[in-house]
Amino acid sequence: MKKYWGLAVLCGAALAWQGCRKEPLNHLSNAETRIYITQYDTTANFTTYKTFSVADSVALLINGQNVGMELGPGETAFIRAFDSAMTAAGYAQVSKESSPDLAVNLTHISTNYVGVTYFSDYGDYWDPYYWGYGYGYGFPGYFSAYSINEDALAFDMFDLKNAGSNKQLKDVWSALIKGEDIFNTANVPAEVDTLFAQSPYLKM
Amino acid sequence: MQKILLYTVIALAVVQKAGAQDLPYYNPGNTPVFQLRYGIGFPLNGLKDNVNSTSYNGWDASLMFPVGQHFQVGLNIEYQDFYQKYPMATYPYGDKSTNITAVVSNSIQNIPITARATYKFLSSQAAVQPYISAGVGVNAISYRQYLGEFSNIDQNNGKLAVNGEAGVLIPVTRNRKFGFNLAAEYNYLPYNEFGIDNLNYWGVKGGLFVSLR
Repeated sequence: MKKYWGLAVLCGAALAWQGCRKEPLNHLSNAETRIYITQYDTTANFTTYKTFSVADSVALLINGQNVGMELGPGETAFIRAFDSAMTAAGYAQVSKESSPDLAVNLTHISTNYVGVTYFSDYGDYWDPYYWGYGYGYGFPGYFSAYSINEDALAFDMFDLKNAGSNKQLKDVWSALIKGEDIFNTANVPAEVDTLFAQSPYLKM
Repeated sequence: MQKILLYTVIALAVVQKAGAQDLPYYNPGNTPVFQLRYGIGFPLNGLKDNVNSTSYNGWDASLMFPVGQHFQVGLNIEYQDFYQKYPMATYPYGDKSTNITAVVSNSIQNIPITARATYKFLSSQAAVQPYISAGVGVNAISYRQYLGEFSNIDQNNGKLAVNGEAGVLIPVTRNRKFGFNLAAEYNYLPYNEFGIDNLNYWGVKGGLFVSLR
């Protein structure tokens, strides 16, 4: 039976090779990687609001730290697209000095993951003799750092109309877009449309 | 193309091994049998609710030992990969105030590892040998779900696996040591996670068998 071990190994290799699962992330287009989340205050009546104003720039949050405001092409496209979508929903855009009923803040959330990985077999590729060191010397494994950046855009809609009576700014609607290429200006209108499509209550 | 090349190499290797021991009084009914097959899986019940497309990514291998002329017992390991990507849609999440729009991808791998018993209706000398087989063991499950590119579920489990099979062995060499196998199989695979009762599926299989002496 020992003579069949080679055959078994060959078959095992075939199983391992063919048995690999289909990797879901390899079968997504950039648009399909994105996720759109919305949440609203069920006590809010969106038909009672008439006017809105969107902040003129986007807050930038990096790894949980607020580092200021930004207004690149992507951020500008989001502000314009949001203005258009709100107007199409029946709300009137006004300046922030005109006491809008709804105020909208946009926040760019950037998260950076840094990891370190260890490769133990570098020594196989470099020979200590190259640097003039002979028997007994060897290269250790190497550490390598990697970094993954993940971007998301959050929207928060605050009720200014009832702020005085409630003594608080209530977040009546919030949204989050995550995924690949979300700040590409060509993608922005469709992304904002998706948020409004899944929020049918957001209408006068 | 790579697959065809691989299958050809395996088939040639098996034929070569089988042919190399062409003994005149060889009785294949008394020797262990190794079997390797390609499988297509058709989801049923709870599995179908999560992945309703056919799986063309499946294999199984078994090593069976004879017990008399008609019975065999042994071990079978099977792999069937089920995957489905659903078009972008909106789903309620948690309370009714939250909605998520995303492409949902479900990826489920069933790996039943079972002790098997087989009954062959005819002798090992027959040109076509129908059989039935049953197995019980453990199903090693990997279940992953993604919303867009973000992982929502990533869990590995071990659960009960029970399977039954009917098929035919078709020896192609004079000594009956090597041949083809065609079969249909049913897998009963309870799960009871994430609201999914089971990961049952049935499948068709085709492959090679070789007697190991």
